[in-house]
Amino acid sequence: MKTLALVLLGTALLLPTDPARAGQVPPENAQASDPVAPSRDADLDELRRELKEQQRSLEQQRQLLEALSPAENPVKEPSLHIYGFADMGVQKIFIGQHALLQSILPTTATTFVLGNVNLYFDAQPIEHWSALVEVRLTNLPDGVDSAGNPAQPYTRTSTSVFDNTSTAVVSKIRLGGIVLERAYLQYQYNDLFSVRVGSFLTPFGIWNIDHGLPTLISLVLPEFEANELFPTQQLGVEAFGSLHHAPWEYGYFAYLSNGRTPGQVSLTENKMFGGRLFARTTRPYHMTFGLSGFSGRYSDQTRTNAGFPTLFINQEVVGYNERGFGADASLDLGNLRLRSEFAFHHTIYVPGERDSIYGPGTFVPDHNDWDIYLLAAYQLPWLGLEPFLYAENYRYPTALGEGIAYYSAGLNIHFNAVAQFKLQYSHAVFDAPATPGGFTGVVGGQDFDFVGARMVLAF
Amino acid sequence: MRAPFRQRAAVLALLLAVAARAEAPAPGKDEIVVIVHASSAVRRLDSAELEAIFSSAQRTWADGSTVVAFSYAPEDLLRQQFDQTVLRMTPDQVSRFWVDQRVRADRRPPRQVPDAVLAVRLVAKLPGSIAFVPATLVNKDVRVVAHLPKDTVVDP
Repeated sequence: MKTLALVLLGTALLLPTDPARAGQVPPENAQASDPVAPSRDADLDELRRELKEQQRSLEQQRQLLEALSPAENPVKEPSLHIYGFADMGVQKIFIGQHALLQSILPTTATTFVLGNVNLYFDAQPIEHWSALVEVRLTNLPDGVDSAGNPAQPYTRTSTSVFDNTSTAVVSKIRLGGIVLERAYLQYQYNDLFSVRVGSFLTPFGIWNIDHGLPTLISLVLPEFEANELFPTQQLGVEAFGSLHHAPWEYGYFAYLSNGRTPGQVSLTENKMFGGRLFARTTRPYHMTFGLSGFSGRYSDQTRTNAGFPTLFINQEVVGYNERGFGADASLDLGNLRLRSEFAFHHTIYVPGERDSIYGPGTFVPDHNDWDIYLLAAYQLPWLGLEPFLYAENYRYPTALGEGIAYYSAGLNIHFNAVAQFKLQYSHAVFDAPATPGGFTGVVGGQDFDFVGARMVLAF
Repeated sequence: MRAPFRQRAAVLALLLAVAARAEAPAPGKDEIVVIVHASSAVRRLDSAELEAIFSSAQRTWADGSTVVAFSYAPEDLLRQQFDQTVLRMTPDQVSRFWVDQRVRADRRPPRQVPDAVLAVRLVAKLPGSIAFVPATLVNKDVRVVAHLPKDTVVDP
């Protein structure tokens, strides 16, 4: 309203300069007959200059108000920013015909893929308060298949339906999905203390927070992310803050959440708690060091209707306690970027409540699994080229082997700040199985190779 | 032989003038200064503190009030010079930095204003605000907390 009022005022002030206004414009021949006309013209010119100056001043005040308004009138002007990123490209997996991983791969052919299309809705309607919703748009679950056991039939999910709203009679569309990456409300008291409630990314390591290809260096996901040694997301409450002691910043995250759940709600009173401590600086180099940990309990239950008067009985069918620990370091030495993360996960099952694996009668033992990677990238001075090397060692004892190691090389081409091309080759090697006669010995090598390329754009 | 009083007074005056000049150097023609609201308790900021503020790592002042930092469009030469000196980043690196922050949803960049004249007026009006402007625009309504003579940051 203030802006509008100022613009109207400015317009009103300018109106007298319009020579066409009735009653103020002398006849064209008036100058000859009116001896005071020259001085009147001079006065008018002076008036025009003054009014133009006033207009300029009003314009500055309007800009001032526009810039001030979010801070001075925060309630009246909600601030919502929408942005995001997308990546898409092509990939191929080279894997043996008898490898068990074939069971989860719909194809080993070269295929174009639609990766992430993520949108952020970032609102700060009032000082100290904000909300963030990040959604991923995907065509999944269309096309997801299951080879299953030899005795089970092959199935494939199809979301293809007739579009009855189309002007074509037989038009079909494929329904996609929306993944809620995070959605939370946040209050910032000061740098030392903020709190958010909702669904948020678990604060651990580098990868889980970067989580988008515009920010990540490597295309291939580490195993601790893919297998969620730490849950990637939490639903609960999180406090965080940092202390600046220039040039260092020391920060913390602490959360209480549902932890891992088979559905959307917690089935027991046990909650997961965890946190992260970090120190980072930009001098003499950009460096960040972090430690993370969590503890929680997983429970999966069935419900039975036992009839009156007991009615519903909940029975835990899978239960385990878990703990995790992680450490990470990132270092930018000029054009050289170094990243490393370590994650450790410890699982102890409740007797008689173990997960099933490989089919009926086989169960997951108590176990430790851990993963570590080292990544080095160097930004060359030409064409935005950034080659990188990546090595990872994941230890998770299964019938496939004691673990898996990745050796990878890639190239990023940064066209500009928001667009880049990523290319990566990765070779995966399975270790020998812990027990003689494991699947590796029965059906041959499980090793595989991956080649992928993605165009990435942040917007 | 003792110097005459007038001679000694002249030397003393000269020394005082040199000392005064060293303490409060006159702003250079192209010098950038960092200004805060006149009521701010902040007296001076070093380069690390400026970096924390203008990279949005520090979002509140020591008294808990919100930092309202103003900057300019990425193509603005004043901003590029400031970013190069304080953030030690090229314009492309600065852009990538803010893209990274958006993907992480970690920090919001300083609010952009069209020009330094407006920035001065905003800082004069808004407690908690901070901006960098050409030294020639400074007036009594704002306080200078850092000078950036040439690719360096010095105390006011």
